[in-house]
Amino acid sequence: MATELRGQLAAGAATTVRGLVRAFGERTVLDGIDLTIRPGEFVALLGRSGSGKSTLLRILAGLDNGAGGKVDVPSRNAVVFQDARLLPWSRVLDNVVLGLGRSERGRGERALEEVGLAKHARAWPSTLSGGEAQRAALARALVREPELLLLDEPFGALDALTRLRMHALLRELVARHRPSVLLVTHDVDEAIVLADRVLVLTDGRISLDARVDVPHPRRRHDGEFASLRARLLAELGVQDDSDASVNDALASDGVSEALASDGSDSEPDTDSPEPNTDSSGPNTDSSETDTHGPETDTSTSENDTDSEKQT
Amino acid sequence: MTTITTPRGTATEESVAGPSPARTRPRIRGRTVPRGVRRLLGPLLFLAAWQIASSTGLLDAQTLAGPSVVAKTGWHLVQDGTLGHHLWVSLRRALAGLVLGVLAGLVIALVSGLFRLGEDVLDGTMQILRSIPILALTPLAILWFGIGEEVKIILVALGCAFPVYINTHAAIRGVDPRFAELARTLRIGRIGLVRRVVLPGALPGFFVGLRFSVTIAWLVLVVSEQINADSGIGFLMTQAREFSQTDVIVVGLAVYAVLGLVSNGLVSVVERRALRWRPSFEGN
Ligand SMILES: Nc1ncnc2c1ncn2[C@@H]1O[C@H](COP(=O)(O)OP(=O)(O)O)[C@@H](O)[C@H]1O
Ligand SMILES: [Mg+2]
Repeated sequence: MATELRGQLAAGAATTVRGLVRAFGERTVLDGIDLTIRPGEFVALLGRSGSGKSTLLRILAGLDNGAGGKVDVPSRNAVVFQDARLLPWSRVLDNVVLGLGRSERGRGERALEEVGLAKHARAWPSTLSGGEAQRAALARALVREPELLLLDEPFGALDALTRLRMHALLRELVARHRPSVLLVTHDVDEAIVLADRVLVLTDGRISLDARVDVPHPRRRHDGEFASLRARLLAELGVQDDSDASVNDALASDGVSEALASDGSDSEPDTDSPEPNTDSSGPNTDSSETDTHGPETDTSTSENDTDSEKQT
Repeated sequence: MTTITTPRGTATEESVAGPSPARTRPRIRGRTVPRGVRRLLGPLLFLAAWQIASSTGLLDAQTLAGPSVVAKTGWHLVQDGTLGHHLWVSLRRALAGLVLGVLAGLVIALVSGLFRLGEDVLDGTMQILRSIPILALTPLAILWFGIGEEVKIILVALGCAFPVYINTHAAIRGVDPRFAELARTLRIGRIGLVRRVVLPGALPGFFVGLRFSVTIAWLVLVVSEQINADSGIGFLMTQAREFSQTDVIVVGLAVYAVLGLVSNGLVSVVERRALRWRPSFEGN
């Protein structure tokens, strides 16, 4: 119904969403979303599992034509999904330059270099670790020089240590390429560490829209970080009972510490506010309101074999 | 009754947990026998028994010629060019039928897999036709095409088309829709989607079909050459039957076995190359 309303913007323009509505059958998932993402702005979108975060991102990516309202998106946009979605039958470099002209292979190689995968250009995707595959997916998005980068829980399936490395890498890449970013995540800390602005999606609407004024490097034990964190968790209906723990340094910008401890057997634990239960339906939210014990992060336990050798 | 006494429990556990080296590696006079040699042992013993049975008259030549006689006959047939001639004829028929059938199956699978209309029109038809045993079409095929080369090639082609169709079509339908979604975000278009996603994704299924087709090609050829032919390995064997030349029949069987092995091996080689992205094919 709204395909004709989906505009493609000229270069340098903002991404705007006005009165966006999306229903699946009886269930209205998005119920009047208004959103503007300025050029170069990094916006994180938080919300419980099933709240419609992916639905919103898919509409912006042009993957869902069943929505009502007005959506204006830069024509050059790129998506990174939670699964790296590399074509298994194409080598890594061919995946990165998929759909680009033959003359663009050099740019693909440079993009792989940027994400530290230059040596894997001719490798098959099945030989990459989870983190490496996700870096290749990032390279595939960045090589298109997107004005809007759409990230749907891109680190959700990675182990905690790899995730921290990816945060550092993403910050570096975004600083260099300056796209607008919409990062969908269920990880409050990830949102605060990375974003300029954090949104919370509740019952189909943006229920909270907060600037992140915490100075870099952002550490979880900083007062501003902690208070914003508490606010966001409260908005998500989760009780914040995390006292400053030993892992605080890891959970914030203490990536250098994390790198230094590479190879040790200890499993650092980023206190993710919710276990990663994305497959659960909207009615199982109670499991997410559970507070985060050190071992409840399912994404960590699922992928603990996925360690990385280089950055 | 709940207590189970295992007086020798420890001993049993030990023998299970730690098998003796002698059991994992059979030794003959202290040397380890390579696995390939061990696998040859069975056929060699069988040949020896067969030869002994023939030499002692236990097995008369009318029933089955002995291995040495078969080898001698085979050598003669090679030398006077008979075997070469018939082999070439059979090979040509099998190859022509296989190529035609595989191409037809592939084209129909693509049309039906890529276009909704194609699927509606073709898939039901193919699913009905596949339930007919191909060899049951022989009488009709002879009426239509006579007893020349065409009949044999067409029967082989028909037999080969279905496995390729069924497996390729299923594989096209089975390509992960998440990749189609990715293709949309990368804006590679419909042709790009087919070329970069659908076809490579369906290739493993095509090879499954091709393997079946190769086996079926020989099967159909054997039968149709025995029914009506004046050349080919099947004809050679039928002719031998009339003169009770069991040695020639066994030579024909051996040739079929070699042809089957070689053709399957060729498909494996091509498949390994084409699907080397698959983790299971690594290191090859
Ligand atoms: N294609 C679809 N058909 C029907 N329901 C859907 C579809 N896509 C998403 N939904 C529903 O919309 C809701 C929001 O889904 P989603 O946007 O994936 O949530 P999130 O990404 O926030 O976890 C869920 O209840 C989901 O079941
Ligand atoms: Mg989601």
